[in-house]
Amino acid sequence: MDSLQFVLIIGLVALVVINAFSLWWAMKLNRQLRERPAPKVYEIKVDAGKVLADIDMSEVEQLTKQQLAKVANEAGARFKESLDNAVDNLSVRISDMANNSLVGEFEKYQVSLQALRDQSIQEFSKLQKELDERRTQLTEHLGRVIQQEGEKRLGALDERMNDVVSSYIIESLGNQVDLGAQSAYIFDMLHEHKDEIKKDILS
Amino acid sequence: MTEAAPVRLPLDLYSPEQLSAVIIELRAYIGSLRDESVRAKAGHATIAAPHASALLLGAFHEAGAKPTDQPELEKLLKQFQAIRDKAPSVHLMMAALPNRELKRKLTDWFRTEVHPYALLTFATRTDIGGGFILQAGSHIYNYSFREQLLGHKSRISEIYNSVR
Repeated sequence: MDSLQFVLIIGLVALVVINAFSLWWAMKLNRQLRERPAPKVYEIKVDAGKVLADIDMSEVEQLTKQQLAKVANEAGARFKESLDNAVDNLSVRISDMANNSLVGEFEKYQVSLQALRDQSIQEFSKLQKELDERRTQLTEHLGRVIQQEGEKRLGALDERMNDVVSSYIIESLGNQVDLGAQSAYIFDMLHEHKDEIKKDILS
Repeated sequence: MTEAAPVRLPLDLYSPEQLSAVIIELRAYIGSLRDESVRAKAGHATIAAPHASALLLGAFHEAGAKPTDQPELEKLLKQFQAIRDKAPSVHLMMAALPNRELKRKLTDWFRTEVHPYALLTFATRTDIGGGFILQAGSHIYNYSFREQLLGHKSRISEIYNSVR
């Protein structure tokens, strides 16, 4: 946008300069016309009465004035036409320049926008990837923590299992232990492991 | 001179402490018997057997020794001393103290299956629930109910989950 404003300002300045130049040029032409050396005057003595006897002097003056006015009008029209053409050309040029600049700027803007969008997409993709990795890490870490906690609690339960079983047995059986009823089991165990026991006792 | 037949220990004499007590009593018994013998010789009377505990009398009976036969008793004393020094000892822990019958059965089993002079000591551990823990030398055999339960901890949680 700054470039566009700059171009427009340049254009306006150029227009003002051209107008000023045209005015200056017109004034110069006018001055040149005025400063044109006076035509050589040949003193020809003509007896007007004899030559222009039949022509009215006032009519001649009027005719001269009309010719001069006509020439001035034609010069002014040509100047105006030239000026109009210059202004039109200048407008077209300014418009072209403005369009070219705008298109260029817009293309640059689009390119920048596209680059920015691509960069944003890349950043977001990177961020998404990091988030996924972080989430995966956290999930794995959480899983490990849960597993460790579970193992820890199971370990604690195992450690307490001795006390639990002992307490349960003591509370359940109390003093009601009947070794007579257990004697079959006791002798079965002794028979089953007789060789090992004998080996250890006699060694 | 013929080799004496190996002496048998009574089933009621099952522990090293009992054997030591029997040895001490037998030594005193032999001393009393010697005194009694001297008195009998002096008074021309018969030798009266000194008082003896049931355990010592059982040992005499199991060994086939006559309570008034001093040489035989001295030989028996030496045999008991030898047994005390060499007999293998087994320590049994149970949920309750076994009665006399069970002690006799256990003693008989060990003397039949392991060693003829095996000596047993008993102790109680109420937290084992049942079964027994046997200590022979430095080795421990745990056949208690508690050990059986703890050996299947995973089954406890499985049963708990299935019941819940």
